[in-house]
Amino acid sequence: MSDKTTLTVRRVMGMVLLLLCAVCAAALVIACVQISLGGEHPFTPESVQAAWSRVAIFVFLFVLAAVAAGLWHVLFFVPSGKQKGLIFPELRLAKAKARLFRKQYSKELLLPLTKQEIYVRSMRISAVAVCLLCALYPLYYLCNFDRLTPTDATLNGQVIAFALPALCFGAAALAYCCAVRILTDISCERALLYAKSIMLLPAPAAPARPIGKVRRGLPKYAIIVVRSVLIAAAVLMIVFGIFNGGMHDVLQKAIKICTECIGLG
Amino acid sequence: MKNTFSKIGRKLSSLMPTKRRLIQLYAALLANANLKGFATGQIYQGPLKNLCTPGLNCYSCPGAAGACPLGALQNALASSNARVPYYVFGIILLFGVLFGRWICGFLCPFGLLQDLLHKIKTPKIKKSSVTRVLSYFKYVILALFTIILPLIYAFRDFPLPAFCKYICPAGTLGGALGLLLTGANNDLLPMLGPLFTWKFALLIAIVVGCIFFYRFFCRVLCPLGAIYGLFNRISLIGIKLDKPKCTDCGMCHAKCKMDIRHAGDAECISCGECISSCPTGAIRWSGSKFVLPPNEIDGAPASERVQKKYAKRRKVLKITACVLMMAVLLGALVYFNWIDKPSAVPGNQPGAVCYSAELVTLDETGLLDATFALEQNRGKVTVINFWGTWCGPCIEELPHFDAVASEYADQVTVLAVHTEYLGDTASAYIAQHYADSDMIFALDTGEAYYAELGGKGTYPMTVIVDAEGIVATKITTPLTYDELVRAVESALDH
Repeated sequence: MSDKTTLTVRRVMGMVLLLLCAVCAAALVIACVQISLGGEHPFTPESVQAAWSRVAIFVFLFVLAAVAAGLWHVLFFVPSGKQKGLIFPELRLAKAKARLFRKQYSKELLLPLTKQEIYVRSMRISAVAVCLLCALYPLYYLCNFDRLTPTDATLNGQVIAFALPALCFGAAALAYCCAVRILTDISCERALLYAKSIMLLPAPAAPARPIGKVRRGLPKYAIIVVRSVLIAAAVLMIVFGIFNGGMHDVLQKAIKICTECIGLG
Repeated sequence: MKNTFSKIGRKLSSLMPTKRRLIQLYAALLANANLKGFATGQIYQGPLKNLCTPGLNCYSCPGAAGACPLGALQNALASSNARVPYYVFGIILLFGVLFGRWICGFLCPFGLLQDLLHKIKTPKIKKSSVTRVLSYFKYVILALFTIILPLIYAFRDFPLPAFCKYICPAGTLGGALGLLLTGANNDLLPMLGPLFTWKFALLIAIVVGCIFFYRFFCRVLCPLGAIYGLFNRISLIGIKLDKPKCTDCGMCHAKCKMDIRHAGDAECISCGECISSCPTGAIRWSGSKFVLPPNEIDGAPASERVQKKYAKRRKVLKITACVLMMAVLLGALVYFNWIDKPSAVPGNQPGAVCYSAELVTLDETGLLDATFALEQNRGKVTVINFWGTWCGPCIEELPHFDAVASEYADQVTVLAVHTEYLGDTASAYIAQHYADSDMIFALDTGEAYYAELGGKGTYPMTVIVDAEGIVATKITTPLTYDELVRAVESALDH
């Protein structure tokens, strides 16, 4: 898929999710208005059940949609104007850093970029965590229904006690995710400018590579020793396993049809 | 005319499989040499199933000639409260140290299937940093489904091969479809349920994934690949990187379709496609120094005499390997399909007189001297349930038999016959869970009684014998309480 197609698909997905949020919020508001206009006082268990079935699902969907939209915008949203190159500013930053690292610029020079990467990642992780916590709210409410809902409240009060915090959590999650996105984009752009300024400096001379010397990894003799020890250990375990009945266990299971392994029962 | 023939010749030679593909086909055929099993619907039950095949190949597949290492590992861990599974650990360690992920590239039948699926002409999803991250998911599968869950449930006396049960597509494809499509195992059809739906959907998703995404299962889900990958750097056979010659140009990384960082790392399946792309010759097969002349001798290429010597060595090795491999394959095919004769299933079907047997009964102190003979139970319905402590569905349904035994104590005798396998652990299990049960527990020495009653290798199996000693029902599926009560009441009304 070309960059332009990916861009379009992701923008469309983002818009769809925001639209879903808006639809659920509207439906929620309409449901709340209907309930209050319907004037079901005093409430009965049947009317409460009917109200919940109309309201709760919208709230649940709204919170989920808000969380998904928030996550989507954090991870995939593309601000307008950024048409060329890689889509995510932090990926462009990572690529610039890798290019600088390959040219062997000093670590001190690259330290601000490393700090920048850590900052962006932790902000993104915090956004994901906030979204997940908000998504748990409906579940939390339903599990602690008796404690959180005032028993002497009217039906409207009952509905609002659930719906209002859910709306607030969903909206807060969405707002936080958008704020994280904007902040991290701004800081990534600044870091990219810094990376570009480093690239204008003359590249350091590549150090001489020693010929015939292993630069990294285990020395050859160590690999041979480790391999020999492991083969010896494996053979010993096999022999011991034959005598302690392990091989018989393998046979006894292998000659039977494992119905749960093949999906039957 | 000459041009036509040469064009045809070129076309034919382009269709010839590569050496790697030939080895993959050979390994898949050898691992599933019991070809007659696909026709008869019976799995191989001979002594060669003591050995594990190196790749992923479900042992419930009718063609399987050996045990699956992953299934064996999970079942061994599930029985680890009885004994430490040294044998399985040793086998997997040996395979890892000798071959590493070369097994994935050359010997795994499911890997071959993925390669063939990827050849279907569709747009392909290329590797990226996202796929690199996804490739770590198989370590999560390894830790959680293959090791932790079986161990936890083992110490709760409930065997759970979690990866095999919930994820493994080889079991669904080779095992379920292989057994059901022959039509010889229609008695297993009632067992199709939500678990099969989930596994079949997962199989379809993996197949579709493999079409668009190179080796999707190997890269993202396979715990066996995760284990072998840990040994890639020290394995005896496989791709090796000559680090002094490596210039980090990234050509191997660009050519490779797996999520490698460099050739020979834990993601490398040693397919060898990167060897030709390396400009400095830093990538080679291990052991290649034995069959390839040294590139430089005092800075000059090897002499013609040395090159001839190595060429002759290669030819001898090639011929010897081909002859040996063909001999092994032919021997396996002859043994599995002609020499090995499975035991005939006796005609102990509903309506026949039930074979009687004297079974040694068990209690919590061990084997009792008493025996149980079916003739002594004439006048009462006998429910014979074959179970094992190693079998999850058996453990799940045993409480239903316990309930029936106490509810219908005057009219029904419930005989719970444990397999000889892990029979030594059965007594402790019975003491812990069924000390006051009305069921009679017995041991099936050599699983002879199971075979006499027509068992084909599936557990649990329930045979209900009416008051006259005639087999009323034989059920090879796990039973719910209601199903069991209906079957018992049907036999009582008989």
